[in-house]
Amino acid sequence: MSENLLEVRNLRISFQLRDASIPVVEGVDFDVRHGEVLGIIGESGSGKTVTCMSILRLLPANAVVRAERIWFDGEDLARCSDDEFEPLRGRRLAMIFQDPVGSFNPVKTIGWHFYHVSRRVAHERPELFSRRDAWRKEAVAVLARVGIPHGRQILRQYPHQMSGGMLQRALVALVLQLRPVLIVADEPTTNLDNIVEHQIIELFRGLKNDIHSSFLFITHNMSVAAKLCDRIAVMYAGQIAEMGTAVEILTRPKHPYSQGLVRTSAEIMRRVDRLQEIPGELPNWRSLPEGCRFRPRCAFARQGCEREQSLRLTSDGREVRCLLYEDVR
Amino acid sequence: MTGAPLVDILNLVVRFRTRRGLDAALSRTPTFVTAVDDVSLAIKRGEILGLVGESGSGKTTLGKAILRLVEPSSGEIRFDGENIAHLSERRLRPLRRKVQTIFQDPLSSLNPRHRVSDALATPLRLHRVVESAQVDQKVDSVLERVGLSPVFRDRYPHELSGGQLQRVAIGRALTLNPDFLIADEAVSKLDVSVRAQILNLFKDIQESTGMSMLFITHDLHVARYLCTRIGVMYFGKLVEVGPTEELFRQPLHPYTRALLATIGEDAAQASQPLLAEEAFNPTEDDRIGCRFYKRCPIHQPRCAECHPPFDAAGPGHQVACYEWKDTAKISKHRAARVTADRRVGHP
Repeated sequence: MSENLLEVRNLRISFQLRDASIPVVEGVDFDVRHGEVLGIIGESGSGKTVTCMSILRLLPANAVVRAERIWFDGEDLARCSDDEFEPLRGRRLAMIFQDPVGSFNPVKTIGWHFYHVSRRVAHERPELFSRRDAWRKEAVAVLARVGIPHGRQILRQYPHQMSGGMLQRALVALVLQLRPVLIVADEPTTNLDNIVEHQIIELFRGLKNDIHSSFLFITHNMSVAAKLCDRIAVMYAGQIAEMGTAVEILTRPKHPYSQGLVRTSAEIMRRVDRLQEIPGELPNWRSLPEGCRFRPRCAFARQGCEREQSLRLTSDGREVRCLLYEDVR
Repeated sequence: MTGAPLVDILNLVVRFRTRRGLDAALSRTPTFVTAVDDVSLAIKRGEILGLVGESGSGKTTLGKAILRLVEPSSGEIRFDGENIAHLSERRLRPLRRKVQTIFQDPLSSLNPRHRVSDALATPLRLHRVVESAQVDQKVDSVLERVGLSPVFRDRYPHELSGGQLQRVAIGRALTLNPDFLIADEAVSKLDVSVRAQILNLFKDIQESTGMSMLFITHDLHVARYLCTRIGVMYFGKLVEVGPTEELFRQPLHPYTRALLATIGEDAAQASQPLLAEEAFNPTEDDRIGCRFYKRCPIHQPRCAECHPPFDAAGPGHQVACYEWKDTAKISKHRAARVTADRRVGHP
């Protein structure tokens, strides 16, 4: 068994519009190892959601996805057809979306969702249907694990009868019922209130240690990433700007953009008189700057930055897409 | 900061009707939702008051009531000494100039078919603030003030990024030199790298003009950075209000404590159970007694009977809790107590 559960190499995604082709992800490489949480941090429009959706093949028809390789648990997803891919989704690969309300069918009970999810994995988990009620027992146990003690009642309820936090917990339970090997979570706490967000993050932290799934965790929130992730990839304008362990990225970021992000996030937690700004705005997809995409906003921009930068391996084993660091590769 | 407060809210109640006609007559459940429930709050001249609370706590409705975008059911809203809670739209007109607002989503608050210069010039023309010959000049100076170059004059909203749009929205609010600005989640939709720019812009504007602001947010860090005082809302009630640093150093209401614990740098404190019951959907039936009763780890029998009145806990620091004097003591064995409550299957 290789060390990596998921290997993505040279992933390129573009959207075909009537008048143009917009490249929103260009040359993204990353790995998710067995049992780890890889965080993808980025602002809106950085390509983090599109990257994950492309792995689950959930993008709209006008998206063109090309990759050298998307290696998942022994199969190359970049080469397999939709028919070959279909059995993976919702079995070994699962996704948790930002909006828990939209993830449930509003006219069906929570129990209905659990039943159908159980049916989907009936082949892999025959014990769920060994007795008439076995799937229900398992569902109650899984709900208890995510902090919903009275599971039997919950299974009879409809989504609108539950609060956002409870629904997000139920959704996590639903995904656990599948026992996927990789869970993709796209900003699962962004729509929730502070207290509930904190509880869900604590839940993920607990789960990380006692289930054997790997996570691909998308967020724009540094403190959420700090609590959960083992490694972090920082994305900017469709490229990975920097990749490393969570501690490295959050305490000693190297790329000027990650430095800015970490600094702003840290400053607002402390009592400061004035926040340091990252000047400028995110680039427009139709007129991306030449070379390094962060160049117009970068305080360290110099000659050479107008050339396309590749991800460099630094002498201390970090990967940064920036001219400031010597490539030892 | 001396003198009378600029905005003085007294026992404000805002109710929304949820059922009408026969449906209301036949239904056994209440026909209205009380979004703002007997709130009294004073906003002093030259201060930025932060209003925090979870979604559905009534903070946006309170802001809209001050703007008279929703009709208050009872209570008073005194602006500069005058009760505006029930003024007619006609008599509100002069006030509209003094009170301006900025919403969460700048794209939907700007007319997509109007250029930036139209958006900024319209309020000037409507209120006849400056001579029509000087409107252009005024628009340029406002653009400059919010950090946009004059080239943006002729752009349409869809051509601008989120941060630039929010700058235009702020500029539009500033054109009339208002005395009071209500910003409702004005930085929540912005990206992290742009948020700092806009927060600093708010700070600069407040410092240079001395205007008062009501800053509604769910982000405690943002509130701490910008606001001089913070009010905490829960389920329609204002439960605690105090100077920012004091509130962060010594939160008194159990809900404020739970809220602040979620952002605490102190990991040990954050991992303690915060609430007796975690997830809970309040209904109209829970309007008897303290609104926080069911989730409160330190509740007493009397909390179920009547909502606690505001109690002065320090200069400018008020809290609506019977037990606040004990919170500091109790917090030490709070964890043990919550666990015990769970064991006996507490409601």
